[in-house]
Amino acid sequence: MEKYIDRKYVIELFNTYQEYSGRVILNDISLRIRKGEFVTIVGPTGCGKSTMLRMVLGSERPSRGVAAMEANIIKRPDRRRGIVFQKYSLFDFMNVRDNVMFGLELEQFSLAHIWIRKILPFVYRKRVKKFREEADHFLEKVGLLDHADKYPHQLSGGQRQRVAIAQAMIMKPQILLMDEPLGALDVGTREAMQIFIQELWGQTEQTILFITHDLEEAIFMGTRLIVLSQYYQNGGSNGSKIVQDIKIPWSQPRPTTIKHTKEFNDIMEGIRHTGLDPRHLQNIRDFNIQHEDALCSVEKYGDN
Amino acid sequence: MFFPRLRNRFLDVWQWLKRFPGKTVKAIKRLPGLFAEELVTIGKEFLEMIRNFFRLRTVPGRRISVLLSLILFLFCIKLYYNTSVERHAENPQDKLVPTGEQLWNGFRKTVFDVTIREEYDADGEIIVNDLPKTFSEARSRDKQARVEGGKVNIYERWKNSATREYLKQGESLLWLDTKASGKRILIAMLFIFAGIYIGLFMGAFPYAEKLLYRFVLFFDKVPAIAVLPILFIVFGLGETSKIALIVIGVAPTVILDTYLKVKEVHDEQLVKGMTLGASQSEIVFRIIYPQIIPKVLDTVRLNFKSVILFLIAGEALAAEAGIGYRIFVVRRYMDMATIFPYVVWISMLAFFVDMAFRSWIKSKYQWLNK
Repeated sequence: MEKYIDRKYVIELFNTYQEYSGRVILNDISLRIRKGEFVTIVGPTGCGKSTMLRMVLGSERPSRGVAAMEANIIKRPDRRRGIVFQKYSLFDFMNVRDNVMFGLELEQFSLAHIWIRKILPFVYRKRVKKFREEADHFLEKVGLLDHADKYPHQLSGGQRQRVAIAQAMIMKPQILLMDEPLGALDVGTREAMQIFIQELWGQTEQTILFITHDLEEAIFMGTRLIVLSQYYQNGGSNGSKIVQDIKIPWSQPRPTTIKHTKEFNDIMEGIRHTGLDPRHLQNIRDFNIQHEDALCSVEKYGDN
Repeated sequence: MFFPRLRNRFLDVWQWLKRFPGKTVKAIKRLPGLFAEELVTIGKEFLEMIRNFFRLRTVPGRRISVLLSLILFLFCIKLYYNTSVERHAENPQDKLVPTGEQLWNGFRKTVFDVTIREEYDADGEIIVNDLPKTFSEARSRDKQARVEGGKVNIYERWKNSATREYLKQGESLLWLDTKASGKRILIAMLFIFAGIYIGLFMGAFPYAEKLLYRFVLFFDKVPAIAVLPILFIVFGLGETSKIALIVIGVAPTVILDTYLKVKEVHDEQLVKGMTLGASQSEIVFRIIYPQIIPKVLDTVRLNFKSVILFLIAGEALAAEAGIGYRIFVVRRYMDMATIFPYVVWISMLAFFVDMAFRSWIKSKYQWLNK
């Protein structure tokens, strides 16, 4: 294991398995994520994308293998890994600004501070003002400064997700995990949000692990694409493996017009055929794992 | 107003009259027609009400709504009145269904008549003062003063009134009982609010859940009234047993409800909190607690009825003062004229406390009004 550990990688998974009561969900996943990369993970329903994300996040431990962040085994969720869920990322009982500055408050104030502030509202005013300014800075970045005093239920779905992104980004996490953040949005909002997240990534060089079930979105957004699928053998009973791990050729930010180019469609068709088609039983040698950071090479599976 | 359309017609006519003073006679001639028209509309609405009574998704107008919500109250009052008149025709001393006058006297007796403590001087003689001795005496003195004194500021008048002096001499029965009962309720409520924290603890920490859940669930099923004798034996006949009855009756419900509300909090929110750097206690008190507290306060509010039920049950058996105690004492003399004001008073008190609590929750937790 030691020989793989490298400072330029944020997240490393080594031969991780995840089993629920004997049923294998993830079968021998190995993965390294380089700093500053925008990794998208795509796969059919029930392939264990979210399970993998939870392993990286720390809310689940792999049943075998190692999930590590900067050479430390991941034990529980902490502030170095931010998360944006599809739903329930925001706290309904606070307004947008408080939601965004909540992380700073949690980190720098203890419960005693909060109770003292409840009794004497004027103490710690300077620190709170600093939090507020920083929250406003992030809200401006996501373009929602005008809505800072609203409650989450007064916002639209896209706005809510943008607040959730600001809420996670304010902690400056090493890696930002996104679990189908655009899954509940309509087509127009979705495209706008795709461009927005790409721009944000371009500005901040934040490492992002982005999970989606939409192939087009995955190819369009990431710099590296990982396809997770259970349909490579035996009709999906063996648990998921990484069946594709490729570098996306275009530089970011990308215009939405590339979605209609031939090259884009070729990549899409290829993945659809090899990774996501349940009828397409294939040999492990056919996996397209050419990314430079990929750990599971064709040679490794040679004996299968 | 109850007849807005009629009022508008009158206003129209009034405007018209002001513009053409010469046509007053003509306008007055129009009035019967207007009345007839209004009667016809009321009749039409009534017919419509009957036609629409068993119709889904048909909302009545404002006038019909007011009428419908009053009708059962009016019916009950009429029924009571008829029974009272009938019984008093047979027996003028009847106490079971008191007349309005008897009720008013009972009301005055409990609400306004204070218990005057007699004061003695060093020789054991009663000190005689010229303060009014009964409520009606005080009222008549005030009336006299008003006739003599002429126009005075209402505050000044109250400050110097005989009524105030009379009321200051002691406490009325109702106030005495309300104070005694209120004290018991307040102390019991403290324990019930503590139950919220037990429920929070139980729902948030699985070890605490294993320790407490079955225990509380079992105690929730024990009928509190059935353990009342045990409480009286263990705690004696004092305040403790009555407060313990309320707490045992209501706290388990509040604890279990809080527990369920904590369980309803989405796991994503806890994970999110951890990624924002929250400690264990911060997750409990800054993420879970603010989400559940308005819903739990609503539960406490709805359980206010049980609180009063257990209070009255406890007081009925043994007490020195209290609303339940008084009702059950005067029951022996079949003193309906006292029981009625008490029942109305406690119901109104519960209703207004509930209303205040509800509007407070609504204004404090605005994020809840989705």
